[in-house]
Amino acid sequence: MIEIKNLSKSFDGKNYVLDNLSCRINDNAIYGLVGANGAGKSTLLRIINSIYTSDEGVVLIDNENAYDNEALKQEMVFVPDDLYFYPGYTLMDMAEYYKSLYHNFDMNYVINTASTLKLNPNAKISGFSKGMKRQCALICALATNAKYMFFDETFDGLDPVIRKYFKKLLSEAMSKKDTTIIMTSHNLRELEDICDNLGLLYKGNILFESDIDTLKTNMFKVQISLKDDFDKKTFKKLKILSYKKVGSVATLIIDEEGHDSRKYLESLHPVILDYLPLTLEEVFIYQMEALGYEFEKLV
Amino acid sequence: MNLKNLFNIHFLKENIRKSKGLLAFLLGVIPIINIIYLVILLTSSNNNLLNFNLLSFLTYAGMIFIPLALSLTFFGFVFKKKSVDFIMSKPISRKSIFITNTLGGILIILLFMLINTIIFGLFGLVFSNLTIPFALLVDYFLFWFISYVFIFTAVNLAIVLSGNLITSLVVLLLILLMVPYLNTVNFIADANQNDYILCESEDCQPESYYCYGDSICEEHLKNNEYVFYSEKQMDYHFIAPLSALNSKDTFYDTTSLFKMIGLSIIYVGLGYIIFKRRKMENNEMSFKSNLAHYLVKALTLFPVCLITYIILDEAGMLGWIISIAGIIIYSIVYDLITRKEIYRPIKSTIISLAIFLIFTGVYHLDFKEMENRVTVLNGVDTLVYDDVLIKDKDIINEVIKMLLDRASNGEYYYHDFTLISNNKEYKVGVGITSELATTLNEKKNEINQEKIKEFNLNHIDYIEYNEITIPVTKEITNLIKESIDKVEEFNETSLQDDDLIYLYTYKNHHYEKIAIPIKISKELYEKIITYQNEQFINHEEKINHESYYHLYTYDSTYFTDEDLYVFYYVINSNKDSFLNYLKTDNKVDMSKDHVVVESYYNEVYKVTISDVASFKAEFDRYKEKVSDNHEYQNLLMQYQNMLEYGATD
Repeated sequence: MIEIKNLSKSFDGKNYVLDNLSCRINDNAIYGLVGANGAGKSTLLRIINSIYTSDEGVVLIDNENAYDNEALKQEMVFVPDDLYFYPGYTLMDMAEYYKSLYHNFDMNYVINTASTLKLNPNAKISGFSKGMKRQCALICALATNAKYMFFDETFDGLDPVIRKYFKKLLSEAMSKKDTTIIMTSHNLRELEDICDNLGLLYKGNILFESDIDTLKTNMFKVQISLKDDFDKKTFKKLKILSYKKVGSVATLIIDEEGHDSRKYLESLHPVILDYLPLTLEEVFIYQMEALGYEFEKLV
Repeated sequence: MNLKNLFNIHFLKENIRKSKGLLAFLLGVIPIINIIYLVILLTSSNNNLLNFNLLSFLTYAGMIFIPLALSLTFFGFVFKKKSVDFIMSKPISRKSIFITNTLGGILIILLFMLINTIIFGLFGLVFSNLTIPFALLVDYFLFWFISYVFIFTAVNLAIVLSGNLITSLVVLLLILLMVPYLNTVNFIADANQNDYILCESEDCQPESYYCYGDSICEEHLKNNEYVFYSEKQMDYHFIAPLSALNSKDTFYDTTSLFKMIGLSIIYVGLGYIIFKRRKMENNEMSFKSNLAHYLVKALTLFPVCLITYIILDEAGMLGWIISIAGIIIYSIVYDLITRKEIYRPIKSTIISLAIFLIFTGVYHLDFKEMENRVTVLNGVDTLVYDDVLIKDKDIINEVIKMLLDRASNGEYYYHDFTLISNNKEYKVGVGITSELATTLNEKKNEINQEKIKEFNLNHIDYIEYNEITIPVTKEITNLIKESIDKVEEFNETSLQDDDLIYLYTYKNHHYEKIAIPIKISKELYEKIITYQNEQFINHEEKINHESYYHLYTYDSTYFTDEDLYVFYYVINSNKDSFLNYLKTDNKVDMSKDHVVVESYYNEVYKVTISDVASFKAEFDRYKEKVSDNHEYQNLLMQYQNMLEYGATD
């Protein structure tokens, strides 16, 4: 388990990129971290991985201080947004490098995955496209078999097919090896079909976090029309996050929280009653609006 | 804490793997260039006594570049965010990264030095005309290994302190040059001042001395202090990159060596602490801290302000305008280079100008203080005369007396001396009388005799006679040992260069050299002359081109100037007869006067001919043989013309 306690970081001593951030990430899950550019996502990952030092606070992994902890780092792998490869190195050279540092590195995994992806393991990486370079970095990271994997802007540069393939590989890693994956993106849609949990980072702090299943099963978009005239007060027994009425049709966003909204709405004998699924982005928008933030400005 | 936690062999292996190009250059190309250098030395001369500086030629040239390249390979990743992410996220601690990289670099330097040392050693063993004593090899290895490690640790420290390459180079220059710079400024300021020498006894007081109305001089005279003019010698033990300035005949300097060992330990310690705490987000910027940026900039302004101080001193108000403009431009350019931006331009300029005023004040006070500073030598401990250290008080006083004497020294012989007082050296030119010259030469001989007695005959590295190398064989060494006691029977001052053999031994990091008369033993004389003559004959028989022959030493009662003029032509025209004469009729005989013939064609060889009268007769026969040759006639004509031209001229 990753436990972050009161983490603060400033690059200039005045403005805090991370400001007293605390959160907990459970094992064997894929945690998505979203936030606008400059929200502190990359900085957080770099502090967890001991690249940067925090000004205050501590990162505990499996109840051990993670900072510069060589034994713990054996179980951690980080793929940054801006990739680096040694000049003139091939994928095999990089794999050899990882192998020399990670005890559980699986060379066969690299060879097989590279073959599936039609990547020449003996060609110089410097000659690869941006997407191919990202594939190399992800393959090496997954081959480490580390317990904790950190990916910054994970799918940046990958085409939809390869993106889907890597999502599958990540899910496999998590399910087969009890891996915990933390991935960041400034694009929520990229993470919604793979993450178990999501956290929204805003101005150096986690503004909101929840597991996706709960979010999706608890919130509904309802379009309703009643015979008689009605307004928001008509639905006062429900927890309504958003209410909009155009003509005689109202659109409600309802947070169920244990209530059975359908039963109640049917009791009103509606002319129209439609339950529509919400996208993750919509879930976030309405949750944020309920907290008093304008989501468009956060992400 | 186990060793694995400190040193990660896998990380080192990968670092070495990614630096294949640099390693190939260090461990392959440079040794090959060294081999080429040795081959050039071997082919250019047939007697090579390699000293420390000659051996270090290429190593000295690479002493900044190689450790810098090595250091950038190991620690240069801190300058780029991408590489910082890549390295620092790997399962290796900061402690381990620093120690592995530092030890890895030292290991490569060790390997580099060992390869070069072994190459030099092998060349010394294989080629008899290349003398590289084992002690010299040890010195070479130790000095350069420590020097390279020192530069490597200094660069490492500069890199971990800075956020980009340019700033790290600035920090490196400050680390390496600031103290020598301060020393040099201090020396230059001091070098131009007059010094006084205290002479309380009459033994050293000059017979004629005037102050020409100089009140300071007169004031000193009351205390028996006399002004003298000298060229001061810098007595600093600079660290390796500046060791060529140490005013010694060799780069090797034990004090520098110990300084570098001490400083390397300090730099490694500081580098370790700073690397452990380093803010890794500090890349592509000069420093994380603005204070550090201003501090380093201020330090770089110190030498710049010496230039502006000189301009101010020379140009008055215009100097102020030029200096202030210069400082502002420097401040902007420095920020642009190190930070890629003009950082807070107004604040930065104000700080730079304030520092400029402070440093100008410091220089002003320092130079003013220097102008008024008077050094009084309370005595001279040692006098250096022809490389001989004389400590005899009477002789020293006599030389000082003549140094201070203001009377015309027209009849005297001028000679250079070095006075040593409290480890400071003062080079002076003194007009000395012939009596004093005789006394000095006798003293020199006495000291040389002592040197001969102290010379370790069991460890002769090199023997030279007539500028030609003689192999150091057991037989020759034993002959020298057996007859060394007879050396006192010879008066060295009456001996010419070709009466002496020179013995060298590498001791205390330089060659000690003594001269002993070749005729101390008949067997020794015969051995050396026979060897040299054989070498001459073998060489001349091998070559199929003309050599330039001339009489190196000759007897003017036998050989005329005309003989000398036509000598090379006559010998070349009768080469076979000449070589035949050398092989059959030239018996080595110590009792007879000799002549030495030198041949030169790329290399020098000499032959000693013991019977001058016989050789003269032989030479006359050769002349007779060529007397009808057109070329010979021309030569004689040229000679006659030269004589006439010389006479009218």
